[in-house]
Amino acid sequence: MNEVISCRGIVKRFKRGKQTFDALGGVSFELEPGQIAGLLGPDGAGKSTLLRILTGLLKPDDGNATVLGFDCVRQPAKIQQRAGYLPQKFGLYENLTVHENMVLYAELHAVPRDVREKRIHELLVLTGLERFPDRQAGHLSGGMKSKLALACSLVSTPRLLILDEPTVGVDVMSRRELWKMLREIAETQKVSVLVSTSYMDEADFCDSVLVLFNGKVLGRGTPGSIRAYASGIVENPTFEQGFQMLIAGDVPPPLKRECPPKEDARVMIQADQLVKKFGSFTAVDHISFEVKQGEIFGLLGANGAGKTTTFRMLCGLDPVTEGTVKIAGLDLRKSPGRARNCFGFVAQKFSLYTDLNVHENLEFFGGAYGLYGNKLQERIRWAIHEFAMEDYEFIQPNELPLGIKQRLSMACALLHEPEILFLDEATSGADPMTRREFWARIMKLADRGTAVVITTHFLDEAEFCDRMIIMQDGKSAAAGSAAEIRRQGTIPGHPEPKLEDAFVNIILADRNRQEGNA
Amino acid sequence: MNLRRIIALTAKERKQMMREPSNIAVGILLPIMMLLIFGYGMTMDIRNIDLAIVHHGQSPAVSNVIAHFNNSKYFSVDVYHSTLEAEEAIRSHHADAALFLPDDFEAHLLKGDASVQIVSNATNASIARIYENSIRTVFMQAAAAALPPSGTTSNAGVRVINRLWFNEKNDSRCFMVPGVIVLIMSLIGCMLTALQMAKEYEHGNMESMFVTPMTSGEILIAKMINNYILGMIGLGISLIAARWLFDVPFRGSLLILLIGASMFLILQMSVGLVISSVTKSQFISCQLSLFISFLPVMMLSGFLWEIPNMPDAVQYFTYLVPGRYFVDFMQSIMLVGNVWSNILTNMAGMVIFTLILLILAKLKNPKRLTGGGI
Amino acid sequence: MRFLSRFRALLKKEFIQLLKSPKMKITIFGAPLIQLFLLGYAATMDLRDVPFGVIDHSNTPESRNLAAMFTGSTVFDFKGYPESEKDMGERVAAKEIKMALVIPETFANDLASGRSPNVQIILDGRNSASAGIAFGYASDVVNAFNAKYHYRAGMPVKIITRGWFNPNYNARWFMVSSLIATLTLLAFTLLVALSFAKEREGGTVDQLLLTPYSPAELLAAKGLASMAVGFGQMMFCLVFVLFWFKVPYQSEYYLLFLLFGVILMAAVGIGLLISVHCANLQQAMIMTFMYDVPCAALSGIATPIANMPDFIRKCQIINPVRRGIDALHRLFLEGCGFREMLPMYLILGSIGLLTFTLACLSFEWQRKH
Repeated sequence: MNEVISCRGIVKRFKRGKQTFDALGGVSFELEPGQIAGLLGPDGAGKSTLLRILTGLLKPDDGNATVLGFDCVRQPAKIQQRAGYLPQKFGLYENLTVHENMVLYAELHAVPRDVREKRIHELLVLTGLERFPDRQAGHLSGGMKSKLALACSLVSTPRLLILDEPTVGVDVMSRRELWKMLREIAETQKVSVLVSTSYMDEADFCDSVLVLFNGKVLGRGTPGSIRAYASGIVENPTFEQGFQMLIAGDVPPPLKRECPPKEDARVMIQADQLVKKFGSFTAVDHISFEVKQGEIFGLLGANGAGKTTTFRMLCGLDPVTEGTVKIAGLDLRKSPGRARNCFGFVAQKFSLYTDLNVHENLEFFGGAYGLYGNKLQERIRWAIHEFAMEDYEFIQPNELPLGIKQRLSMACALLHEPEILFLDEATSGADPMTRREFWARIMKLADRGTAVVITTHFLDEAEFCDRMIIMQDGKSAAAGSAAEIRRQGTIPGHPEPKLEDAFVNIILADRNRQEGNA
Repeated sequence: MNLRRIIALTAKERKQMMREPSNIAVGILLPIMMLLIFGYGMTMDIRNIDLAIVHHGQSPAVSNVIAHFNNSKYFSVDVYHSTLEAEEAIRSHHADAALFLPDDFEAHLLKGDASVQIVSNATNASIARIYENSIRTVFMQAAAAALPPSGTTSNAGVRVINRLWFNEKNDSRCFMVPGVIVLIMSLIGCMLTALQMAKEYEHGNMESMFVTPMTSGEILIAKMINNYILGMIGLGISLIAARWLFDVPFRGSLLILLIGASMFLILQMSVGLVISSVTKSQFISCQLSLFISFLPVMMLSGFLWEIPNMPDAVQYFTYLVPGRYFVDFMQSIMLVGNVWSNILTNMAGMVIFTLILLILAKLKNPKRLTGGGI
Repeated sequence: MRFLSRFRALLKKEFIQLLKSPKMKITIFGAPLIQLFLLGYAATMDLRDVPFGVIDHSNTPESRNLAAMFTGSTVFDFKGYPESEKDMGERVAAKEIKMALVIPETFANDLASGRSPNVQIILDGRNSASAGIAFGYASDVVNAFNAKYHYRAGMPVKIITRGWFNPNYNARWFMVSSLIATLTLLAFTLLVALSFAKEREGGTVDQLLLTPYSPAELLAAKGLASMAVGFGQMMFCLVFVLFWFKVPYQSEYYLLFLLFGVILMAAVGIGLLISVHCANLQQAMIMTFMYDVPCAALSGIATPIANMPDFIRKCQIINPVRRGIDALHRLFLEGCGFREMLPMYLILGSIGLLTFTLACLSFEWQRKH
C-alpha cells in the first residue's frame, strides 16, 4: 500500500435541529506521498468533518479510511503518533509562551531531549518566530499564531500533516509566507500535506486538489485541470472561476457598482488625527479620513497594523486618545446613543447570542434599535427573505454553517436600515460564493446611499472599495482608490501589478524605509 | 501511560495556573479567609446571651440570682420590673430570653414551692433549647447558694459529672476547624477541576490534545497533579492554623492524615471531572459544583449537623456526599488519634467512590469528539 | 414608547437566555427544591437514638433502676455493657457509642446513707455542640430518676419553659424559612455575575455596546430579568415551605412579596457589581464565592450570631443573607407588621440600589478608559 491516505465511501451523519443530514455522503480519495493536497469547498461542504475522521477524532457512520496504513477507526492512536494535525482553533495554550507551547508538543510526541532544542530552534527560524520565544501565544497576531501552531505540529517530524483552514484570519503577507513554508517542509522533509482551505487562490500552491461540495467529491486533479473547466468561457481562467464552473456550472459576471458615490455627497464619517496609545505603545498614529454617503471604504493592513484598533475607535468601542470621530455629524463622545442609532455593526466573531435562535436574535437586535410591533415583524420577514434564511429561522446560531452565521449577523446589523455599516473582517473564512453574495449585497446597499467601512484580509475584495487606506505600524502607508494604490505600489520592472502585489510592495517598501531609518 | 508525557503536561498546567491570578486566590486566599471566618466567626459555644431578668421586689435571693447571671461569662443581663417591658424586649430582639421570678421569690424559695418561668425566642429552636439549658443550670446554682445548708439525709440524690472526651476544653473550634479543612479541599478539588476542564472544552484545546499520542488518562492525571499540589498547600495552611492559631489538638499520625487527605482530594477532583465532562460548559459547571459539591459538604457531611440525627432517608443520601467520609476521618484523626476501624471504613468509602466516578468520567470522556459542527 | 420597546427587547433576550435551556431550568427550580428538602430534614440539632453504654460498678437494684431510666428514654439507645473502661474507650473512639454512664461502686450505699453519689457521664466530644445537648438530656433523665425515687438532688423549684413564636421547638421551621432567602441570594448573585461574565468572554458585550443602549439599561435589564426569575424561584420554594413543611405564616402576604423584591434587589445588585470587575467566567465565579461563603457562613443559619465576635456582629448589618433570614423569621414566625419591617426593607433595598449604581458607574468608567 503506497498511498498516505486512502478513503472508501466515507459517510457521516449529523443532527441539525430535529433532522439528520449527511455531512459526508460517500467520500473516496487517495493521497500520494510527498504531495501537498488541497481540500477545497464552500462552508458546510464537510471539510473539517473529513479531516477529523482521518485523524480518528470522529467515527464515520459508514465506509473505511486508512492513514499511513493504519485504520482510522481501529488504530487512531497509531495515526496520532505519526501525523501532525492543526485544528481550526489551533489548540495553542494562550497563556503559555511560544517556546513553552513548542516544548509541550515536543514532549507529548516524545522528541528526544538532545535534539529537542535544536529542532525547536530550527522551526522557530523557519516560521520567523525566533525573535519572540517568550511572548505568550495569546498576544500573537493571527498570522503568527497560525505559524506557531504549524511549528508545533511539525516538532515531532510527522510523515503527514493535516491542516484545517490554517490561513483563516491571516493577512496576505503571512499567508504567502505560510505556503512557502509548507512547500519547503514538503520538499526537504518528505512530508505529505493535506490542507483544507476556502481561499481559492491558494489552490495554485497545491500539487493536487480535491473539491468537496455538500459532502460529495465534485472534482479531483491538479489545479490546472480544475481551472480548465472554465477555459471555454473566459480567457486565462482563475482557479475560482474553474471552481465555480464545477459547482454552479457557470462563471458569474464580475460585480459592478450601479451608481458610484457622488463627489458632493454628504460626509458620514469624519476621522480627524486619530491617535490611540496603550501605555507607551502607539497603536494608531494620526490617522485621518472621510467616508461619504454611498461610499465603500476599506481599512487594510497586515495583522497588527492597527486597523482593528482604528475600527474600534470609529464605532466607539474604544475611547480615542487624541483626535475626533464624527458619525453623521454627531460627536461620538457627546451623543453616543444617537450616533449609535445611525450605524450597524458586524463583528469579526459574529457576536450572536448562541442561546437565542435566528428569529430571536433578529427580534432582539431589531428591538435594540427601537423597532417594534408590525414594523419589527415586517423587517424580520424582510431579513429572513432577503438573506434566504427560511430554513434556519428556528435554529440556534452555533448549529449554523459559517456562511449562514455571517448572513445572520449582517441581517441583524441591517434591520434598522442604518446609514452607516461597519464590517470587521466579516468575510474572514468565508468561501468564494458566500463572499460574492456578500459583496453583491454590500454594493447594493452602497448604491442606495449607505456608507460602508470594512476591514478585510482579502486584497481582491479591496478592488470593490471606492477608496481605502493601507495601514502599517499604526500609520497610513497609502491611501486612495484602487487605481491609485496600484500606482503607488508599482515597482520598477513589474508594470501593472495586481492589487495584492501592490499592497505587498507598499508594505515591504515601508518596512525597508523604517529599517533604513533605524 | 507515559511518564514523560505526564511530566510535560503537568509542567504546562503548572505554568497556566501560575499565570491566572484567580487560581492562586483559590489556593491560598480562600483557605485563609475560610479559616478565619469559621475559626473565629462560627462557633457553637454559648456566649453573649441577652437575658432579661424580671422581678417585682428586691430581696437577697433575687440579688443573688442576678449576681450569678452577671458573673457567668455566658450572659449579658438586663433587669426589668415589668412583665410587659420584658416581653417587648423579646419581641424587639433586645433579649434572647427572659427569666421571670415570681412575687415574694425568696419566701417561696425557702418554702420550697417557688415556680419560675423562662421564656425564650424560639425562632431558632435548637439554639433556644441550648439557651434554656444554660439558664436553668445557672439558676439552679444560684438557688442552691441562696438556700441555707440543709440536713444530710433528706437531700441525697444522684449528681452527674460531665466528662467530654477528645475535646476537654469544650471548644467548638475543635470540630469546626477539621470541617473547614474539608470544605476548603472540596472547593479546590471539585470546583477548580470542573472549571478548568470545562474551559479546555470551551476553548477547543481538547481537540488538539486528543490528536497527540497521549491518552485521556494522561490528560486527567496531569490536571489532577497540579490541583493536588494546590489542595495540599491549602491543607498545609489549614493544619498550621489549626495547630498554632486555634489550638486544635492533633492526636493521630500525620502520615495517615496525608494519605486520607490525598484520597479525598482525588475523590473531589473526580467529582469535578464528571461535572465538567457532562456539562462541557463553564457556566453550568459553576452552578453545578456549587449545588453538588459545596453546599452538601457544608450541610450534609456531618460537619455542622451530625448525620445520626438526620431522618433515615437523608442518612442514606449522605453516603453520596464525598465530604461525609472525610469529615468523620478528620474529626477522629485530629481529636481522637488513629482509630483503625474509622480510618479503614472511611478510606474504603473514598476509594470505592473515586473508582466509580473515574469509570463514569472515562465513559463520558472518550478520546473522541461527539457531534460538533461541520 | 421607543424607549420602552427597546427595553422590552432587551428584557426578552435576557428571559430567553435564563429560561430556554432545560439545564438552566433544572438549576433554577430543581436544585433549590432538592436542597430545601435535604437541608430541611438534615440540618437538625435534635438528637435521636444516641447510642450509649453503661458501666455499672455497683450492680445493685438502684443502679439498674438508673440505667433503666436511660434505656426507657426515647432519646437514648442502649448498646450494652462495656466490659471495662478500656473497652468503653475503644467503643467511644469507634463511634459505636456516643455516651457512657459510669456508676460508681458506692452508688447504692451512698444513696442509702444520704450521700450524693457521683455518676459520670462520658461523652464523645468530637462534636461538642451535640455532646452538650446530649448532656442536657442526660441530666434531665437523672433529675427524673431523683424525682421518681424521691431523692432530692435538685432544688425545690419548679421551672417552666416557654418558647415563643415556635412553641413546639420545631427546628425545621427555622431552617426551611431561612432557606428561601439563603438559596436565592446565593444562587442569583452567582447567576447574575456569571451571565454578565459570559457575555464578556463570548464577545457579545461589544455588540451590545454598539447598540443605542446605555450601560445602565443593559445592567438594569439583566437585573430585572434575573429578579423576575428569582421571584419565581422564591415563590416556588414558598409553596413547599407553606404546604409541605407547614411553617405557619403570621403576617400579611404583601409584606413577604415586598421582602422577596428587596432581597432580589440586593442579590442582583451585588452580582452585577462583582461581574463588571471580572474579565472572565472563572474570575466571576471565584469573586462571587469570596463573597457568598462568608455571607452564608456568618448568616446565623448554621451557628448563632450571638456567639460571634463583636466586630463580625457589627458587620452583620450589611450582610444581605443575615438580613434576609432575619426578616423572613420576623414575618413567618414572629408576625411583624410593616412598621417593624421597614428598616429591613430599607437596608436590603439600599444595598441593592447602591451596588447597582456602583456597577453602572464602573461599567461606564471602563468604557471611557
